[in-house]
Amino acid sequence: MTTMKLSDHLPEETEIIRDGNFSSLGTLYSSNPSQVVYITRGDDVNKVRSNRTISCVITTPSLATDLPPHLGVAVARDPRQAFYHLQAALNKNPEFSLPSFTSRISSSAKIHPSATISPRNVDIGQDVVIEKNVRICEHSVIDEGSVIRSNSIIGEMPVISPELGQTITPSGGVHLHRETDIHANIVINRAVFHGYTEIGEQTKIDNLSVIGQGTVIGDRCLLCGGVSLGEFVKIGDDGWIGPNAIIADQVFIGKNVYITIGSRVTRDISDGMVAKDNFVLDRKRFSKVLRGM
Amino acid sequence: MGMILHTLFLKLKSPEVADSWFMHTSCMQQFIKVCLKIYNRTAPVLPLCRQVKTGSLGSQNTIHPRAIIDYPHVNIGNNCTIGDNVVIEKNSIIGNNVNIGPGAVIGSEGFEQRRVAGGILPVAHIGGVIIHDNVIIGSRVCVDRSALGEYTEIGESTTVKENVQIGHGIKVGRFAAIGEGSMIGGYAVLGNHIVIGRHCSIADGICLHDGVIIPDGSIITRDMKGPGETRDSNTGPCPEPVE
Repeated sequence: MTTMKLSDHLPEETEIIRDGNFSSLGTLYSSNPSQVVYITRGDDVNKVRSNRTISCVITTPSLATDLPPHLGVAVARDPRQAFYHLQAALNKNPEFSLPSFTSRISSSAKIHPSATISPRNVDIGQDVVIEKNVRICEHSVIDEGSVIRSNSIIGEMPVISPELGQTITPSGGVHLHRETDIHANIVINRAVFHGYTEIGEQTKIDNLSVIGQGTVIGDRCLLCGGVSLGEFVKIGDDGWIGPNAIIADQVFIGKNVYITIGSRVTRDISDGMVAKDNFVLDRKRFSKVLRGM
Repeated sequence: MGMILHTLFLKLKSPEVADSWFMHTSCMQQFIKVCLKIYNRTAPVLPLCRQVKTGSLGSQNTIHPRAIIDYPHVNIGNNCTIGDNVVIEKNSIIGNNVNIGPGAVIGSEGFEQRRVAGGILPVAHIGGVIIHDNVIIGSRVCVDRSALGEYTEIGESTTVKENVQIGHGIKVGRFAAIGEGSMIGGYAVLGNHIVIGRHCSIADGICLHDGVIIPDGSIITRDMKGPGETRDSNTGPCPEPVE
């Protein structure tokens, strides 16, 4: 991964308070290695302190003094604008962005004629099945044996900040690992700043679910209908997420977790737990309680 | 044949059988895995169960040019309106005066997955969907086909609003109304004249008897009996329904 200096890439209207090195862009909720983030509010300073992956911050002059001394700091009148200028500039840098190539589609893949596949930067493996009206956007990697069912969108551009008034080009993509099953009317957003939104091996996602950008789902997970995952969510292996469950941004969910129907999860959940709404129980104890009823 | 398979399948799914130690022995797990793989390969191509053998299209239908319909294996009645990007898969039977909104997917594969021998295997769905007369289906609604030779049914004069998921094997009665964003799990049985509010979640295999009213955002995990019964999982029993 390329390491870059903050002072080399920021626009002219930005002032460097302390220079620093970085290798990726991100938000307060992401955990990209050595990342640059922007903050505009005083509350965000504590989040910067708690996120150890942040190496540089773009902020307003009033907040610059509150930041820890080991971080590179740049100030701008509008930090968000400066951050997205930086992203746009880095997107043109081939060392920073994902590799560009003409789309590769395996000869054994079954693709319905009504499906739309981007002519660039799409890699479709062996025995992949793509059904009617599916849209596969740029920087999507689909491994062998995966199935994508009707009207789904893989690699959709996430809505970041409409008030920004500029088109943001994401630098990440979507990676569907081996034998994933994506059912109808599902939207999987592509990562905006770094790497991929990942769906693990043999993971199955039911109809009408939405997967936010930068989310990583482990192997052998089952996501029922209408599940909505926020941005930068991480889900361990062998999880089960019930219908209509909502998981907030940057929530980390361990392995073997069982999230019940209609839950709203806003906190991290450790391995082997059952979550009912925002209330968490040990999964083995939960099974014993149910058997006793 | 379909009925026998369906009964056997439900028996195998029941907690008494599925949670028994015998089913979790490694030999049994491998046996189930092999059986499932054979079934998944052979069932969709063999005429095991009831299927729509010849397609038919009634008169005075308005079908959007971008709708994708498997005409040789779909029956469509008269006076139907089918919107943009609608997908109607094989083994679907659609009655008269049915309105299907844009982006709806009728008869797609259901979500039936088995965890066996350390992996996940899907169960091939070889059933179909029946949508009776005068049904209105909103945009982006997903109606899954049934697993084993049965039909997922939506009864006469039922209204299904936008972004609703109707799972596999569900039977919806007549004159029902299902609100936006509701998710209904597989094998649920919904009676006549029921009303389901917006963004409700209804677990698998639930039975809602005639006349049940479910308020917006409810999560239903138990059967509801008796006409006029209402329940809101968040706030307890609801007041009497307004006439």
